[in-house]
Formats: sequence, structure tokens, C-alpha cells
Amino acid sequence: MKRAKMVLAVLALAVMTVMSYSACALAAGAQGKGYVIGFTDNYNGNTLHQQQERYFQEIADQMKKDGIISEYHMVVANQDVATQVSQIQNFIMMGCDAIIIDPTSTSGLDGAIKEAYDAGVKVMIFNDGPVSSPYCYQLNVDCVANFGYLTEWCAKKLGYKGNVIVVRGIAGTGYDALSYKGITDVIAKYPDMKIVGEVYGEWTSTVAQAKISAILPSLPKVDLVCGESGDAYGAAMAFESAGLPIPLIYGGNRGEFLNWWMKENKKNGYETISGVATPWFSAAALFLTIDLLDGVKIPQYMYYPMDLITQENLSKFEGISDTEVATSVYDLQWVRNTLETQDEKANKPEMVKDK
Amino acid sequence: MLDIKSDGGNAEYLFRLNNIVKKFGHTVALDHMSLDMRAGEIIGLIGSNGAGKSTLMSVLTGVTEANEGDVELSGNLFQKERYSTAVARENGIACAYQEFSVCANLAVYENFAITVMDHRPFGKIGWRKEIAQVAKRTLDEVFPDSGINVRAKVTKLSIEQRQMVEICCAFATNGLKILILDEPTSSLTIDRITQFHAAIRRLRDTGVSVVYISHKLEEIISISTRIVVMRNGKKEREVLTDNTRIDDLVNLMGGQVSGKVAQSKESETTERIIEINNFSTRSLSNVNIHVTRGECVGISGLGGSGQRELLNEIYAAAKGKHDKNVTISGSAAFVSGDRQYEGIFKLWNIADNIIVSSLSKLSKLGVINKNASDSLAERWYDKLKFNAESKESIITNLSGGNQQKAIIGRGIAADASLIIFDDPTRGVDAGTKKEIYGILEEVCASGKSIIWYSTEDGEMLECDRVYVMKDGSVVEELVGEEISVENIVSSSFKKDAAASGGDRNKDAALGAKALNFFSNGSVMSIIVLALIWTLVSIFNKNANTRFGMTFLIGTALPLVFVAIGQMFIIGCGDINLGIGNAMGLVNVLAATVMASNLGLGLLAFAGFIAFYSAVAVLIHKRHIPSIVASLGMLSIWHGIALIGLPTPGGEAPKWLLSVFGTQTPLFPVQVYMCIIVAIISYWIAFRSKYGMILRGIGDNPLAVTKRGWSYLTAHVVTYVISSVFVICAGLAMTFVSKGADANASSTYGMMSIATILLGGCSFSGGNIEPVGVVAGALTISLISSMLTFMRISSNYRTAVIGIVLLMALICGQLLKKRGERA
Amino acid sequence: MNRTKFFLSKQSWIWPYIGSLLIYVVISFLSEGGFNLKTLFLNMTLATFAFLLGVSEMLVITSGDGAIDMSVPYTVTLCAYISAAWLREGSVLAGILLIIAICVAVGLLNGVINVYFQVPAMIGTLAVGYILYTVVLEYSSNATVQPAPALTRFARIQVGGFSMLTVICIVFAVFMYFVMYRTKFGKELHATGQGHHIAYLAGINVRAILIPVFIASSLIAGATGILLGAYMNGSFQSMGDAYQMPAIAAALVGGTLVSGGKSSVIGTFGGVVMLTLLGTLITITRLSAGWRDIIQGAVIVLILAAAADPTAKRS
Repeated sequence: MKRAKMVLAVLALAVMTVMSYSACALAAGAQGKGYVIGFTDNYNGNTLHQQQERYFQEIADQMKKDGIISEYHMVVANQDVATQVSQIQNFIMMGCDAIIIDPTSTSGLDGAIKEAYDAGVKVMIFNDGPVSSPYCYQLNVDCVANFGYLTEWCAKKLGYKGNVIVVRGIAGTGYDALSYKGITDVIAKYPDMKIVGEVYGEWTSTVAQAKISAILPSLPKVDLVCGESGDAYGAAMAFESAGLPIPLIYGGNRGEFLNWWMKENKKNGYETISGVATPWFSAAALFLTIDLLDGVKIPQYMYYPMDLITQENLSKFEGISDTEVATSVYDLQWVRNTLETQDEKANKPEMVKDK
Repeated sequence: MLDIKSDGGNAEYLFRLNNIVKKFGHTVALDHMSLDMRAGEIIGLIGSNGAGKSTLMSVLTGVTEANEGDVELSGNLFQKERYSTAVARENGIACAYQEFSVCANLAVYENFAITVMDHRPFGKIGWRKEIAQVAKRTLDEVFPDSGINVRAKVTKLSIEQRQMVEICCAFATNGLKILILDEPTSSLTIDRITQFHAAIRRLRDTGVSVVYISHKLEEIISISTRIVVMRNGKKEREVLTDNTRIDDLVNLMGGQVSGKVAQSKESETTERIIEINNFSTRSLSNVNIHVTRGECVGISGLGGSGQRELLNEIYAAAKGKHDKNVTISGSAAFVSGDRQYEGIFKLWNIADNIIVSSLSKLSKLGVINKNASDSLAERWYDKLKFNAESKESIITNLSGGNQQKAIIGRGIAADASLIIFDDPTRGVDAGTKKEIYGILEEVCASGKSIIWYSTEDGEMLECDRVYVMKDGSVVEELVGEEISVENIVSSSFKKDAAASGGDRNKDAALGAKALNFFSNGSVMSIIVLALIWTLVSIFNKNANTRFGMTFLIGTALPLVFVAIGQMFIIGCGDINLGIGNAMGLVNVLAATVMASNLGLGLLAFAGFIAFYSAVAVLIHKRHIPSIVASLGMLSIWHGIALIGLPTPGGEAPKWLLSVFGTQTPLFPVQVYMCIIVAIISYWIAFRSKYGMILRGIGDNPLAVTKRGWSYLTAHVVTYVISSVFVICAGLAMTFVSKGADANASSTYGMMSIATILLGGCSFSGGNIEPVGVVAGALTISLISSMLTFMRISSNYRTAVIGIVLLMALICGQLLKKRGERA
Repeated sequence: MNRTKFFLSKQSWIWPYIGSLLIYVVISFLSEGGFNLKTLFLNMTLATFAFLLGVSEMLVITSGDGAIDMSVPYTVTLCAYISAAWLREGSVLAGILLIIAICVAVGLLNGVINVYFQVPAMIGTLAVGYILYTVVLEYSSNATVQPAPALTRFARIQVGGFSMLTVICIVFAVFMYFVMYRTKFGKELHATGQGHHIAYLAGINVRAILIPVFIASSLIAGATGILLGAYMNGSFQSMGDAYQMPAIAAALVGGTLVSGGKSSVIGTFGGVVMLTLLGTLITITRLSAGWRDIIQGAVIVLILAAAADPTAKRS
């Protein structure tokens, strides 16, 4: 009798060991779950979006090999809201477990997101949010804080006085509205700082250059250019072509701007700062989504931190290609430590509607 | 001749035009012209071109407002400001116009409806059948055995048949008291003319009076009771028809009577410029003709026997079209008698109109030699004796006869070895005609050849040889002294063995019917939709489930509505490039104002409709092309939307959510919405009375306004209808996005245009296909999903739309061409 | 007064210049930088692109039948991308030949669809444009975006105070004026615009006019793409979009009849100057984006309402 109990005990132990082992394995890497993921990108016409798609694909392909994902679909909405709505619905019809979206519109997708929610599909927004729907998870960029910070740094460097040009994005987008708020709130604090010009640069160098060039001759001396990232180099070129002294411009970590900054610094000691939420956030969104599907509790609203490049660490980026965005590449652990621990109530964007 | 003295008789006047003065710029068209008429009279109104006959009649019908003078109808005096087409119509005045005023895209009986029905927007039940009967009756009365199917579209009729329809529409006018006929027999053959005159006499017996304008003096003598001769905007003479001869009239109008008799001409060479043997096409069978150098050959016969087609084939052959049975040596020039549509370059002056065919010899290395072209223009200006200020006068200011001279000058100046004339003296006065005959004689004498089609048999006496055509083949060749009006007429009616065409037609009819069915725009569109839906279903089994359909069709609804909105606008001849942004504004209004307060929202929508329709008024009154106006409105709509909602937001009104969330049996409510839209827009366009007016205006606005309908009203109503659908589109968009975004709807502008063309509408207006448009909108919306399901990159979305569009349009064209050829 | 009205309605090219002058004056009042001619020249430089495209639209619109070339912005963008990749040391000739070949192919396609398949030009070119857009999207996801430095330098050359672009603009304008009003082709083009059938019967080979017109339009668009890419120091997907409507608007505001047969090179230039100055004025006033749009749209409509001939009958 004693011997039977011993054998049973050893057997039970063995079974438990095996089970806990596999349970750990499951918890550790969610092996063999085979999720179907859909990703719709706002557009991929500039290097930032192309880079984020590359990061996404890298991680997704690896996950496919590991069995975490069975299939993923990547589509581009080419800035057309109706198309993106349709793509979200298509993903629901194709049986996706989760949909990751770089949104084309702040509130145009609300209907589709609710439909996904009703169908039990998880939705994760990143980059061009926030969106007003309360039915999804959002990995946003804290535009107000980020651009406020950069503007504040520049204002301090100028002694809190000077003329400012504000380069905005595309009229009518949430990203633009929030960034603009961040910039103008800071400038409003200092009575000796004045906004003398405002253009819509569409976050694109070339557009910014054209628009700024058009108004330069009618402006007084400009001391500072505040942009919304992607437009800094264009602003610098506008002044260069016009033969005017180049004001203080903060950058968006684009290779072309960083290279120009390094040159200017060597030439005449030009100093500035650069910061942006980098394209790796697509990979972060994917990691977050997988954790979400696995049942991990993650905050509904998160902010992706800004990569700051200062005069001190500028030299790290020597040799960067003009078309690249200087990016810090992280990993799953970082995502869990930095993003999943954020406070969703503090991060909730104002525009999110009530359920 | 018995002159009539202006009298103080007591007989009641049906109308009196008193001292009418009308100026066009510097030109005085009517110079204190007076005309009166009593019941039971038939007035023949004649005069050389530019005498003012048509202008006088357009004053009487209210189309043109006189500068001075007034109109008196049955004793009621009207000041010129108070007189209009509506007033004229009420008093029983109707006119059959020289330039046909029928809407080609409407059925025959629908044209009657426009003429006959009252102007209330809705008709009584069964009005279509009633009018069709009236139309048939009238046609049979005036032209027995007309062979015209009143339900056929006018575009399918021959020119002769169209003129018959034009005339009968005038005959059918309610309360007809005064009938004006302006060159009514220009495309009719002798048998029809006889029937026509008989009908006029019957009409006169019922107390209706007729004004008969014509250049055909024999007809004037035959039909009228009194003849009024106009010259330079004034009444030259007035005579009773009895005892008046043609020669008297010609002299009165300032022309010399020619005593020409056909002469034999020996052909000096045997070199053949035109050699046509056994030539057959869709409208010609086994034609054999030849023309030698220096000959003047006439083509005659009953209208519609293929004469025009033959001339066009000859010209095409000269321009390089190959056919083994047709040989043309040398170059050819074409002079058309249809000045308005085939002849004059309206924006240019006389000089440019003349030299345009001679540019090769006026340029060196592609550059025009200004001196050479000036002197060429000057030479012909003098030679043709234009009645105009100078060769720099804009050609539209000239009379028909002078315009014709310019076209003739152009043809001769081109120095081609063959000149083709297509009824060049149509609507030209006697004096100018004589000048033209002289010119043609000179041309032949100089070694050029002429082939000349005329509807006036007497003109053929000018030719060396005449071919008489009937039913697409040549039935007689008259040479030299054989050429006479009697011979031409008898040949025209010759019975021959061309009856074999009958059976061929029957088989062709069946094939044509099938082709016709498929070339109907809606059918093509539905077939394409079925194809795309099949593909979608194959690649995603959820497509045919309720929730799949809700998605797929739900996101298509905005395009469905906005495309229908655009369809009505293009149907009336305009275009609205800014419709996408207008829809965006509605989206914004719905998600902001209406979401919070229904009443305020409705008010905002009413304001939207008003503003949208105001654009129609702007386009109409200021003659701005709609494409330009809509280009400007594009920005304005967008701007207003941005001001209302600078950043995307808002929410869908609760009632909207419940409407779109209605649980309907079998299919989701979205499917039923599509069906309802198609039905409603079909009803508006094709079953409602005012819809018929709108379609007519899209094809021929003048035709409709001449019958007293207001163009401005129709224009505004079209825009109001369109705006209602745009509002539906904006609401659908609000439902899809559960919010609003001022930028999201911009792409719908061009997409709606692509949609309606895919649906089978014609770009220039008049042809609308509601069912096809709905199908087209669904097709285009499905393409994006189709690509996602097929795992094809979403970048290909626009290319697929482009290719589908092109294929549908090209197929539609090819089918139409095949259908015509059958 | 009537005389003046008549004169103005006949010489409709004057209106955009009047408009430009007014806007110019307002800018000088509002600008704090003090007014200088530099504004004018700078705007002329930027207006070059709109002018080139305005002329290509003018060509197509003049050919009649309500034709408009909607594929232009996509051709511009595609050629900008291609020129960035190809017009570098070593493959300049190949790059130019490639761009010419593409433009000719696009124009030929547009022409054939319109002439042989009787598809209305606006929709035919739109469909071709849609196809081109897909090509742009596919190409641009893997393309270098910066243009060759030599090209950029070329675009920035100054000739006696005028930028190279302004010079190109003026030379092009003179050339187009000559072609449109002094050559056989130009005369026949204006004839064709007044009615394709009328022109055919007058002996003009209409196909030989229409197809070259579409090809010319695409070639001009291609050249504009190269210059635009060079000047802006890079390409982006929606590059050509911003010029679509202004190009059409400039041509129409400048006196080109939308129904065809009448054109004005000088007027198109005036239209472009006016629209560009208007853009600058609106930016300076720092009105909200919504008001900018409204003013822009209203000006277009007003100019055309003023220039329209009120006695013209609706055709």
C-alpha cells in the first residue's frame, strides 16, 4: 500500500512538473497560439511609415516562425478614410483576432472600431492617434508634452524672446491640433515671443520648404521655427535658399536634418535639439497586442516616449542615411516595463468619447 | 398682283405686331415692322436671308423680347416686358422651328408631352398612355402612314421623321390658334409635303391661322392666301396670293429669275476623279457612280435614300479610308449645308472661317504666313460679295446665306480637285442661291469636279449629270437634257427589286435587340457588379452573411447616394466637382448641430439646400460654366466644414443610429436602402412628369424653354433634388464613421463621376441610368474589400477601379457601335 | 462705360491681372516685413510649376469636347520619383529617355482612349490617372526620394535676379504663344476645339491633333515633375495633387473656354500669378484653414462671374 502511494505521488509530481513546465512555457512566450493579426497603415509615402512597416514585419515574421501568429495581413489605406473603415471591416470578416491601426482619421473610424469591439476583436491604435473611440487601446504620442518640451527648450535658449514660425501638419487632424496646442501654450507664456507666421507643412520637408519660402519675404526676422516633426529640414532649406540667416529649428530625428545639423555645427557651432516618437512604435504596438490577446492586463491608454537627440549624443548618428529616421530599437521586455506600467487614467486623451 | 392697302377693316385680328424694333448690338433686325393676321388666313412670309422673318416670329412666340413695340393678341395688348413664351402658349401660339426643337433623348410622345401638357409639376395617373395616344393620333392625321413609333426615342428617327415630329408637336398644341411654320419642308419629300399641305388646309378650316415661312416659292404660292415680303427688317410688300407668280416674288425680293435650261456638256477628259463600283454599306447597296474631271454631278431623290451617307463615304475615302470598291483620285473638300453643326466655326470671324482649310499651303515648316492668309481671305471676301462689315466680322453675326458663302469659300479656297456639297442652299434666299450657282459653274470650268446633293430638285438643272437615289442605291442616271424636275421626281418613285432588304432586316433585328439589351448602360453595370460580388464571395465566405453584407453595403451607401446626386446634375448638363466636400459639410452638420438639436439641424439642412441650389442660379444667370463654379464651391464647402469642425469629432445622432440599425427581414436594411434609392430615382427620372422635363433640358434646353417651360426653374429643381441625395450621403457617412471629419469626403467628388459613367450615364447629359449608378457605386466600393480578401496589395485599389472603368466604358462603346451597324 | 465692358469681356485675359494687382496691394499693406519686389519674384518662381501645368491643361481644354487631363498630377509625381532615382551621374541620358518614354506612353494612352474608343477625356484620363497612382504607390515605397545634387543646383541658379525657373517659365510662355497662335497646328487645334466634326469636314485630321495634344500635356507634366522634384529637394506621394485644381482654375480664369476653341497663354499666366499671390495673402493673414478655403473658392467664382459675358447665350 505504501509502495502504491509512493508511485502515485511520484507520478503526480511528474505530471505536475510537466504541466507547470508547459504552463510556464505558455505564459512565457504564448507558444503555438496562432493568432491572426490585421494591420492597416494610414499611408506609407514617407520614410517614417516605411520604416515602421519594416519593423512591424520583422517582428511579425519572427512571431510567425515561433507560432505566436499564424497569419498577418498588412494593408495601406493611402489616407482614405472610407478605405480604412472598409479594411477594418474586412479584417473582422477574415476572422482576425486583433486589428492594429495607424489611423487616417481621429473620429472617422469610430464606427468600425465599435463593430470590431462588438465582434470580440481587439483593436490597437498607434502613431497617428489619438482617436475618439473609447472601444480600443491606444498607443499615442503625447504631442502636447513632446512639442511643448522642445519649444520650451528652444525658448530658454533664446532667452524667452523672438519671432516664431509655426509649421503645422494637415488641417483637421488630431495630431496637428494637439501638437499646435503644445507649441502655442508654451509661446503664450512668454510675452516677448510672438508667432509671426503659420503654415501647413503636412509633416513633409518638401511641402514645408515651399510653404515657408512663400511667406518669408513678407516677414520680419525669424528666430525660431517650431514644427511637428518631418518638416525641420525643409524649414532650414527655405531659409538657406532665401539667403536668410538660419533661425533655431528643432528637429524630428530625420536623417537629412541630423546630417545637416552636424554640418552646421561643424561650420559655425549651430546648436539645437531634436526629438520624435520613433517608428519602432509599430513593433511595440504588436508586442502589446499579443500580450493583450494572451490576457495580460495592459493600460488602455499609453504614451510612446520621445527619443531625444541633443548636442551631446548627436555624434552617435554620424553616417545615418538621409532617408532614415534615427530610431532606438527596443524589445519585449522594454515594452512590458515602460509601456504596460503606465497609468491609463492619466494618459486618456481629452477627445475620447464616453462609452 | 393685287396689293393690299393697310386697312381699317372691322374683321377681328388674331394677332397684331405693332412697330416692332429689335436690335442685336449694332444690327437692326426689325425696323418698325408690323404684321397682322385674321382668323382663317394662311400668310406666306418670304424674304431674303437677313430680312428678319425668323426674328419676327421669335418675337411673336415670346422667345425674343423686342426693344420697342408691342404685341396684341385677340385685342389684348401686351407690353413687351410682360410678354413671354408662357403667355404666347396660353394664347394658342405654337411654332415648328427651322432648327428642330425636339429632345433627342426622349421618346416621340414625350416630346409631345412637353409641348402639350400644363406646367404643373405632377401629371394625372396614366398621363403617359394618354399622351402617347394623342401623339399617334396627330401623326396619323397630318402624315398618314408615317411609320413612326411614338414610343421610340427621337435619336432613332431619320431627319425627315424628326421634322415630321417637330411639325406634329406644333399641330398638337392645346387651344391652337396661330401656327407658325418656319421652313417646315426642308427635309420632307414631295409626298409628305402634299399630305402636310392638306393638313394645313384642314386646320385652317377649323379656324386656326398659319404663318408659313419658306424659301420654296412654289409652296408659298400653293398654300398661302396672302404673301408678305420682308426686306431689311421692314415690310416690303404685301400681296394676295391669287394671280401672283413665282417670278413676281423673286423680283420683289431682289433676285433675277434665271431662264436656265439644262444643257448637255461634253466631257472633255475621261479621267475619273471618283470611281465607285458595287459599293455597299449599312445604308447603301450596290452603288455605282463615277465623276470625271471638271464635271458637276448632282445627287437627288427622296430624302433619306442614302445621299448624305454616300457623300460622307466619298469624303472619308478621300481622307484615307480604304475600300476596294471606292477610288478617289486627288483631294476633296466638304461644304455642308448644316451650318450650325457641321459648318461654321462660331468663335471665329469670316477670314478665319475661310482660310482654315488652306493652312497647308499658307504655312511654311508649320508656321502660318500672315500676309498670305490675309490676302487669301481678302480675295474670297471680295469675290463672294459678303453682306457684312468686314472680313473681321464674327461669323455668327451674319445671316444664314452669308455664313454659307463663307463655308463655300473655304471649300473652294482649299484647292481640292473634288468639292462635295451637302445641300448647301438650304435656308438660303433666292438671290444668294443664284450667286452660288454662278460660283459652282466657275469652279467646274476651272477643272475641279463637283458632286452635289440637293433637296431642291430644281437645282439639279445646274448639273451635267444627275444620279437619282432610292433606298440606298442609284436607280437612275440622267444625262444632259434628260435632267428635268419631272424626270427626277418620277425616278424617285420608281419601283425596283430592292425588296430583298426586308428579310435581312428581320434577322438583324433580333441580333440588334440582344446588342441593344447589353449596351444599355444599366445592364453592363449590373453584370460587372455580379462579377465583383462573385469574386468577393469566393474569397470570403462571410460576404453573404447578414453581418458581412451590413459591412460591405453599409460602407458603400455614401457613394451610392452621392453618385445619384451627381447623376441628376450631370443629367441636366452640368457637373459638380465639389459634391464630395458638400457631402462632407452635411457630415459635419449632422454630427455637430443635428446631434445636439434636431430642430436646429433641420434648419441647417434647409440652409444647405438653399445654398446648394443658389449655385444653380449663379450658373444660370451669369453663364459661368458649371465646372468652374463647382471648382470654386469645392473650396467653399470644405472651408465651411472646417470652420464648423476644425478637428474631427462629433457623434452620430441617436435617431440616425436606429434608422440604420433597423432589423429587416432577409437582408440587412442597407440592401433595402439601395433598392429604395434606385426605385425613387428611377421614378423621378422616368415616370414623373417633371423628371421628363429635366431629362429634356439635359439634352436640348432650347427645345424645352421654347415651349414655355422655365429653364431656371428646371435648373434649380434639379439641384434641389441633387441636394437631397447629398444630404442622404452625408448622413450615411455620419453613420459609417459615427462622427465627422471635414477631410474624409473629398475623394467622393471624382469618384462619383467615375461611378455614374460606370453606371452607363452619358457625360454630356440627357441620359441617366439610376439602376446602373447604384450598381456602379456598389462595384467601386467593393473593390477595396475584394483586394483585401484576395491578399492583393491595397495599392492596387485605384488601378483596379481605373481598369474596370475603362473596360466598362470601352465595352459600352463597342457594343453601341455594333448595335448601330446591325 | 459700355465700351469698357465690351472690351473687358472680349479681352478676358485681363481679369486675372486686375485680380493680381489688387491682391498684391493688399499684401504690401499687411506684410510687416515691408514690401519688396522679392515677394513678386519669389511667387513667380513658385508659380512656374502651376503655369507649366496650367498650360498643359489649357492645351487639352482647348481641344474641345469638354476635355480635361486628370492624369497630370500623377504623371508629375511619377516623373519626380523617377528623376530622383535616375538623373544621377552615369544614367542621366537613360533617365531622360525613360521619362520621355513614360510621358509619351501615358499621353498616347489618353489619346487613344479618347479618340478611338470615344471615352470622354475627363473620365478617360481620370482612369489612366488612377492606374498611374498605383504605379506611384508601388514605386515610391522602394524609391530614393532625394534628387541628384546637380539637378538641385540647376533649379536654384539665379540669372540676373530671376531664378532659373522664372526664365524657363518665360521661355516656355513665348514658345507656347508661338505654337498656339502662329502655327498651323495651333490654328487647327482651335478649330478642333470648336467642334470635332466641323474640323473634320473642314479637312483637319482631328486625330492627328488630339493625340499629340495629350502627349504634349503629359510631356509638360513630366518636365514639371523633374523640376518640381529638383526644386523641392525631394518627392512625396501627393506631390502633384496640390496642382490639379489650381492648374485647371488658372487656365479657365485666364480666359480659356471650358468648351474649347479659345485659349489664352497670357491669361493662364495671369491666372497662375493671381492664384499664387492669393495663397500667399491668405497665409499672411493667418486666418483659420476654413476661411482660407472659402476665400480661395470665392475668388475663383467671383473672377469668373465678372469675366463672363452676360450676353452670351447658353449653348
